[in-house]
Amino acid sequence: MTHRFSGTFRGPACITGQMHPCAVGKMTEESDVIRRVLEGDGESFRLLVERYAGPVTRMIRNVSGDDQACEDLAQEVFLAAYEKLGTFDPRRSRFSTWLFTIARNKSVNAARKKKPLYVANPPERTGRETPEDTVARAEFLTALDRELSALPLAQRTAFVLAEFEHLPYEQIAQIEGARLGTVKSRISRARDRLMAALRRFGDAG
Amino acid sequence: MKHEEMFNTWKRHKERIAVSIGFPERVMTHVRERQAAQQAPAVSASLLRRVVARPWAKAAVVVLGVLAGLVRIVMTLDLILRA
Repeated sequence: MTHRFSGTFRGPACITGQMHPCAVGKMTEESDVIRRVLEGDGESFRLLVERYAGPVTRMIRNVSGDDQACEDLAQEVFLAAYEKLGTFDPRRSRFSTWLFTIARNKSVNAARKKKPLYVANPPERTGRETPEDTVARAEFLTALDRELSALPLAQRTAFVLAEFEHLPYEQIAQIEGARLGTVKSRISRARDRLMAALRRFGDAG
Repeated sequence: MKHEEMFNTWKRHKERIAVSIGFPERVMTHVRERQAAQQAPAVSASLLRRVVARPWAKAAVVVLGVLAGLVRIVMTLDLILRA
């Protein structure tokens, strides 16, 4: 049984993908949760897991290209976060930045180790679509997935964080440990390459 | 379909994620295990500190260890002789 997480992630979100109306309240709540965990209340960590399970798993899947192992990797990310929580400094970064940095490093290591396995399933058919349309759509999704997996890792992670997680460039720069200009350039190059692949695919079809 | 539209369709598709309902519980099971593991050495460490601080306690631990070793040797010899 699975939760369907759709929609975008802007800062704190929960496993259902629904944003709380008061994001600022959530941030305060988040620092309270972290404090409680550090004081020995391990059960409070569940709140952080529930909030970030969707975004972290999605980021890992999209960077590593591994649909099968992304939950196992996400579990490793949360356990690493639990163990290192004492080193998190709220004055240096947001909790989401810190957590995404761990997730980024784990998914980059996974991507280096194995061949990409994730291939997008075709989107659900609408009533107006012909079988040919469905096949064509599935093909272009696969073509873009392949192109994403073929991107250099630095471009891929920056692109995934910007386009699928909708994180601000400044936050991505912190996660990547790179300068703002470098991150913008990586995202732009990744986007150009994917658009070029799409054009090639369109011309061939 | 126009390229931009196709690109956005792909992006929407990639934004979807399905996380197992049991995922948070799975993580929490490991968290509890780690918490228990972290607490256990704390007890041993405090006990060790107390033993180290008392010479008679250190001697008692050594004697107990030697006795346990002797008992084990006797039990093993007994097993071999009876076989």
